[in-house]
Amino acid sequence: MLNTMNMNSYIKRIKKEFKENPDLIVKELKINLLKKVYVIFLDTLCSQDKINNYILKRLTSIKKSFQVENTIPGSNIVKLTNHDEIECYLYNGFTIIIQEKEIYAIETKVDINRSVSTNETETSLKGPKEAFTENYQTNIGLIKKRIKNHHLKIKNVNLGRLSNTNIGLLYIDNITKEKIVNDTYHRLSKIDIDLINDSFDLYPFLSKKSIFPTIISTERPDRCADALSNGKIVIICDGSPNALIIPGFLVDFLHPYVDKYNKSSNINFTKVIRLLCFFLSIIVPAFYIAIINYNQEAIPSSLIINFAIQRNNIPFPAVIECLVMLIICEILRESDLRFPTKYGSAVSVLGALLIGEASVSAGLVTPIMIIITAFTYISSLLFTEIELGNAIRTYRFIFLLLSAFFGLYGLMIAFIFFIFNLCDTQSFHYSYTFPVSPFDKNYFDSVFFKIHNRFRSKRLTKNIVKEKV
Amino acid sequence: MKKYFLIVILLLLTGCYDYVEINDLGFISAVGIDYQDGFYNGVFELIKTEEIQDSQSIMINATGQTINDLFENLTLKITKSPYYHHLKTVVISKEVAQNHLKELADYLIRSPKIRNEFYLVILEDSNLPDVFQEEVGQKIVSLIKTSNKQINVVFNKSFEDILEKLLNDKIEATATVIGFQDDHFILKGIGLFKNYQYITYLDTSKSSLLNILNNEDAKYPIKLEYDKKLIELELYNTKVKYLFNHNQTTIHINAEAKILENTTNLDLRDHQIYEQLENDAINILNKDMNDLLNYLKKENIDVIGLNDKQFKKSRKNNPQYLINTNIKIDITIKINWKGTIFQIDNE
Repeated sequence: MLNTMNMNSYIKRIKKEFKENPDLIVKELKINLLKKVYVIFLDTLCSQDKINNYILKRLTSIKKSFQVENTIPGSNIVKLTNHDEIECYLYNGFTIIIQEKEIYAIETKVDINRSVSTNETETSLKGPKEAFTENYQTNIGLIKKRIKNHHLKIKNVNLGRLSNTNIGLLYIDNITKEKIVNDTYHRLSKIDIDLINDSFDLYPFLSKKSIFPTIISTERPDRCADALSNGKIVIICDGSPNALIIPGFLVDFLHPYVDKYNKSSNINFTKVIRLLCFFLSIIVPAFYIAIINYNQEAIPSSLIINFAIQRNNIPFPAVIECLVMLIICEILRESDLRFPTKYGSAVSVLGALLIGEASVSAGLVTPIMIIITAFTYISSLLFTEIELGNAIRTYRFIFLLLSAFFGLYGLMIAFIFFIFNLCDTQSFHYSYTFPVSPFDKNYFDSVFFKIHNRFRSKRLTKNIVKEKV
Repeated sequence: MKKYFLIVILLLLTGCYDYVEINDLGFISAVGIDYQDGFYNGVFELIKTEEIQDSQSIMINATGQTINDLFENLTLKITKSPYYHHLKTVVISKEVAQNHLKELADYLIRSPKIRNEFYLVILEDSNLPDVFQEEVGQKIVSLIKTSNKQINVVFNKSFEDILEKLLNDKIEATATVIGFQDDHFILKGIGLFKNYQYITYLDTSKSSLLNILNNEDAKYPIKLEYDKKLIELELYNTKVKYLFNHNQTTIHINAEAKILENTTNLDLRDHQIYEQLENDAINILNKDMNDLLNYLKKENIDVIGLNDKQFKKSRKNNPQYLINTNIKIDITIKINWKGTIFQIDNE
């Protein structure tokens, strides 16, 4: 098609397609009386310096016919064979040179990305501080810096009708099982949406509908490298500072990756505390409501007298009191998340007033309810993964509702439902409760507790030997 | 949608069936029951839950023809729903213990609102209204729980344990007996029942022996006299075994002892002295045990449960077993806590 069209018709077509794009620059350069060259680029995506120094200066100094590959210096020069490709290259920061019937794209991308910065959501005192950026190449580079082996493979997919985002699926071919790679690739290639702004946009297409998160989202390249070496898959999305790790299990969300950089004998105690807090942050308000309203015999006498004295002047039932407090805390958490950090102190002061001494003095809530709510929230704040926090919140309300209706019996029903749901959840053909059920010693040792072992999980990988035995 | 609708209906129709707010409950901590002129008189200790308190609890009196009446009449006098799951003590008068225990036990077993984990105590030589003052329930519980350390007798038995024996026809029940002197409760000993009837109580020394026979963690002090001076031993860690052979019952008692006090001039560095002390202690314990067993045989109060124990082996119920059996006691005492062995001149 290209050969049948002349230069003017290309330009006409491009100008028509980019009609209301004022940043499109079309420069016509006369080489001699007979020949002219068109240089086309998008001003906003290209580096003016690069265009001036390496393209315009060269082209204006030439007075006879030339070959673009030999004249223009540049590592990334592509000869286009189809007019439809022009749009794609223009939007990727390339400069298009049209000379007679030939079209070339030369990379003159302006660096509009931020440099590699320290991670913010998964901070640690020890270990690497680097975090992913919005640049796809940088992100891949950060991983390749850690895995210098030809077995690291990348499958590329371009997704998004409008965004045409570059998605990279990373895996180590002699460790990762093909089944997961093929399945993930299949799921990715079936995605047909308009826009992919962030890796989170891929979430609903990769995981099944479930309360618990099944895909790990991380900004730490070291975590991705570790996941790859353990037979998992990493998905990097252009424009997103978060990589996705597949598959993700409950234990992966309970314990932060930075545990790896702490002494095992000390961190194992913390891991037990975290596990305890996971259950406590779900159960505590429900348990309190159950024993205060239905099973008063379960509390020691002196304690129940104290509770009764505290509840004397409270106008609301304990359930309403509990719901109000939990919702207030949710509002506070949300406002704290959304508000700029500079205003953070104002939120904290208001929050302290709202759930502190003032509400007790006003006779709205009991001091014990404040302790219960505060304890619940402190327990849930151990988990930095926001999706897990949301799942905990959902279950907290389910537990509370059932306890409010049926007491400890309701709590038991809720707990059974919770366990059923947990066991029913699947993460890419694996049970979500892996490595507890089905039990896998190697993965259990390395994630559930920090115990040194020389092998990878047999269920996750096809090559289990990690160290020289 | 239908599924969620069904869940909501289920919650609304079946939920909250025994919902109660904690501040609507009246916590009863102790109940006192007496019987006079054909009526039960009761005193109930209600824990105050109002914030401004000059006292911890209030006493409410009620009367009823039956025990159920008594408990029902109480509800007319308090503004909150009486809650008995935190009941600590039920104090019964001697009259109730002697003649109305069966009715009381029957009511307590039937009543779903009362748990059987309280202490049932018998009040000797005092009137209930005089005794029921501030924090009766808590005071009696503390007294009973610390008894093992204070006076070497184990009273720590809930109504559940008493009930187990009341309902078993091969063993007689026991209960704690308390008195009231100078505004203080005192533990008098273990009360003996025979067929739901309170007979008498054993003093603390005999109660301790009964504890030993029942394999409970009791201690027993023995005073030995040499040249009109005393040396006091305490038996602890006692283990009792029963052997049944036709009409013969052998009780093997194995105990350890420690020297608590020595005012004699015995040379405790001499090992032969300990043999002498052990032999003398065995003789005294043997005599005390025989006195207790003879008394129980005479009254035919099988609180040790000999009939029950032999029944488990022979499968023959013999209500007269205690009277007819020939009891032989075999005691071993080992002094293994000698204390100071410095020679002290006690002239």
